[in-house]
Amino acid sequence: MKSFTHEVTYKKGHVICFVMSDDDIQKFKSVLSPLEYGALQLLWKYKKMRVREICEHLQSSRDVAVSSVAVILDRLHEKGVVGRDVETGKGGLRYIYYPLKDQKQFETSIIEMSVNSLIEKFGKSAVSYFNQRFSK
Amino acid sequence: MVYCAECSLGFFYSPVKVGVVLLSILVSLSLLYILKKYTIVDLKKRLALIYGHVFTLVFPFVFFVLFQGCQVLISSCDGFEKVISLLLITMFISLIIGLLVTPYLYVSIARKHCVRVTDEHISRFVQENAESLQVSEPRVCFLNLGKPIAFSFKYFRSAIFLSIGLLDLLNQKEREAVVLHEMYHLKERSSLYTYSLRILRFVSPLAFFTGFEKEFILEEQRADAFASQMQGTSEYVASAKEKMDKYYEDSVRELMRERKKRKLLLKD
Ligand SMILES: [Zn+2]
Repeated sequence: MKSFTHEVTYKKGHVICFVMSDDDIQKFKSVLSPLEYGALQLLWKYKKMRVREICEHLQSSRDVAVSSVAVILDRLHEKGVVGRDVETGKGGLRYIYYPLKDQKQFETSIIEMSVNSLIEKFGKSAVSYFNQRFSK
Repeated sequence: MVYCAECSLGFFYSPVKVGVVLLSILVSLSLLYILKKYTIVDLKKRLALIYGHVFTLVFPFVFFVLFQGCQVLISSCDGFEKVISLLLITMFISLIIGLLVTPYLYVSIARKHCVRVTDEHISRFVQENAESLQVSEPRVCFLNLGKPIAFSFKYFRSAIFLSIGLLDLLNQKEREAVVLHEMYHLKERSSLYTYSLRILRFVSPLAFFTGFEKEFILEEQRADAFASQMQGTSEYVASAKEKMDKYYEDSVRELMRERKKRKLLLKD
């Protein structure tokens, strides 16, 4: 780990601090955009959140519109990374989002996806490489 | 009536006609298959698919009936020109039938997407405005979709469809602006008309109906003007529109990014 990016947010008297290491960013860079990663991290931390809440949290560290966050969440939902329920609150109807996979399961699915695509592309060469590599 | 045994079968002896009929049915069935198999969330694409399905399903029957009618009247309808003109008339009739049937199918499919919940604020707002506008109170149906979508329809009973994704995006005043916009459509009973326009807009081979496009935009502008007038400001209509436009811009950008990433994934 080379360096840390500290994002400190002061909100309603609470100090919310989350740390994103460069390693984490590198690890997810090939599959997630910074915004997707930010939204997922919040969901992993708070379990259940509304679009507006996620947006407010993200806005503390970058300039982001509600619509961008809504797009990201709809896409993540379509890809089966997050789930959502319709909730009735005092602001009316809305979606409440929650992660379907924790960080570990998510990483595993990315690895699986990458390995599958390699095997799909290189067939036998990829498989024999993996055998060689993991038999050591 | 003796000759008719031959002449009605004549239709099936012509390879061109049978080919047209079979091709049309085949296209119709494959469109139905796509509609059933893939859960296409995009209502516009769905609308186009339903329209295509209805059109190609109705086409062979209309063609057959017209051919038989032609045989009875002229006794020979096998000439190239006659077949072409029969095809053109068939296309026109199928187009009209498609325009009439598609909205009904569309609404019945849309209703399946509705969630069984109500939004008190919106219900009350709709009720109050229905009274003051002197229109029958529309049912409000919430679509379980992340994309911001709003439309209205009058079929027996009028209904306003709003997606949950739309509610996520807009604040209370902007939601009211959207509801007022839709109530204008219901008040003007323009829904069937605008629906037909919408269908024509998304069925690309019918792009020659460009005159309708202009009318469609004008109708939308009138609905926006009405909502602004009711609210006493155009602020919320404008910001609701801006947010929805931005959503679709962002989702296009997002899809492009994902496609690019997928390609890069293998190179990494
Ligand atoms: Zn409209």
